[in-house]
Amino acid sequence: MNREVLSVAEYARSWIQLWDRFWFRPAESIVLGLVRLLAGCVIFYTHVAWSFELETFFGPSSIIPADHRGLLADGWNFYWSHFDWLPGFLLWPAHVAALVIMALFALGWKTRITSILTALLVISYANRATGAQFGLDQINAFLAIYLALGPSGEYFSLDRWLSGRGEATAPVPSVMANLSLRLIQVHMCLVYFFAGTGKLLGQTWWEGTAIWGAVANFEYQTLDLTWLAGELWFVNLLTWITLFWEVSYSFLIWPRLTRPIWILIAVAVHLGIGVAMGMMTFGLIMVVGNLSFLTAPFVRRWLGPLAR
Amino acid sequence: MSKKLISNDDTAEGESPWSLTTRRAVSFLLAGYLFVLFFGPMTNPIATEELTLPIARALRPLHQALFLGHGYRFFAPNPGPSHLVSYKIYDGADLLREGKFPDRSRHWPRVIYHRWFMLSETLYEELNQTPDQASFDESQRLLLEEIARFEQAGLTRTARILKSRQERFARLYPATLKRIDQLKQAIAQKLLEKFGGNRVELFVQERRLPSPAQVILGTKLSDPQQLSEPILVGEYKRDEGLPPEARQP
Repeated sequence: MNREVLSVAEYARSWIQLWDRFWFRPAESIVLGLVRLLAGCVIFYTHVAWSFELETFFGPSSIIPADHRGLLADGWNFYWSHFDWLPGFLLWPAHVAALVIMALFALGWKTRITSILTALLVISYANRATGAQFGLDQINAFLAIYLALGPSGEYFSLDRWLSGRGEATAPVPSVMANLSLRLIQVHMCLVYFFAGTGKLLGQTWWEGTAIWGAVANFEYQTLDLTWLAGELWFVNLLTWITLFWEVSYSFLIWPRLTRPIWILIAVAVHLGIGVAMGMMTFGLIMVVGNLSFLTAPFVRRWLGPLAR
Repeated sequence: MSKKLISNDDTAEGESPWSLTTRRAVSFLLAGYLFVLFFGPMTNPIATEELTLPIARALRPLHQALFLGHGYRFFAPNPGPSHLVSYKIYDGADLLREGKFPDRSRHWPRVIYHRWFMLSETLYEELNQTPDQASFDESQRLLLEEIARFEQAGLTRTARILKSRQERFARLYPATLKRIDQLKQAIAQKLLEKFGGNRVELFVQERRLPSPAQVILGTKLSDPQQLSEPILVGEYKRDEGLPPEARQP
């Protein structure tokens, strides 16, 4: 083999090593546990809120026809929901049971089982509410799936508390904990990449006026930010910071130097949207997704006593 | 990816306890899953007839079953105006109730308000993006003419791609009409079930975004002048179009 072939082989081998290190090294599950606790709370609240309009959206005479998603499907129809075969009189008992499962998942009780059930329930509710679902359901669903994949109940959980294990017998780092976290992180990057590049098509994002379009929308408004009309330079600045942050997120969330800044901007952007545009649940679940980028030592340092 | 630049090493520890065979098998699954994941937003809302649409079709079972495949284009390409559904409910000739959704005075908690908001946006978008029968027929006629021209010119591959598009549109159009009709019907029946009455008129409206200059001159975001004229999208009687078992007692 000549030198070029060897260098290509070495280059390929180094990429395989990077791939293996990225996905298959064992990791502590403390970050995963934190994400489970917080995502579990948002998921629980999301579905508690459905109680106010349960029959409107999920009852036998739902405002969204049962085959609405079937007609969206163009041939294949693998959308599924337990509401499709649930008799009307079982609507409330099934909903209460679902809420109990989600609450137990958030608290981390029998997490191996409740995590899988929660993931299935989140997908099932979202599939039935086609037409009324939004980003919140999308993030809830993939977080629930990845949290069901790994040992998300080893920290911040009733499972750990009831087992009587202290800090001295911390759970052994595992590959599955790492895999789950990596999938959350990669999925978050995918979300931001397409959210950001989608905005590159919009004139108002280039003009620097898109944030005005968001704060001047009466249906979203929960905080009066119309004073921004007189401070358009600030609107421009916020718009471009948002655009640059979102487009670059997939790349700059990884380096040690930029990661804290990108997480802090994420917190500011999402909580800002939550407070000003009334989408606090969506804002919170995006922040929770971002927390998957925290490191285990950082979480242990600040929340260690609670993790047990 | 450089080792020095990536800070996730402080999360993952040590060498993998998994054997090489396990790692390769899981790598294979992971690569497949990442492909599935990527081609969700890559094919939604825009896909090409030649490449990404066939991929999207093949991946659809997984996207649907796992609730993946979303576009994630939040506030893209531009934050736009919002859309409302308003309604008038009659009992005989008497106007019983007027209302709209979303309605922040009635829909609570906020996430439920947002559900109603998304429903009104869904209905508006469906109506807005679906041509009437005459426009649809005309677009089909033009497409068929174009296909014939390409075939005559011997450009069979291009003609085949266009034919595939034309057939897809022809297949989806009746399903879209049915979906919109069923959604309007379900909304109407639910409103009658909630508020009584025996007839309901449904309207859609757009609330335009005021410019900064308008706001400085005193326009409020809630100013009724920002609302477009209501467009009547349907008039429904109680239990109309429903099977007997679904009718209200």
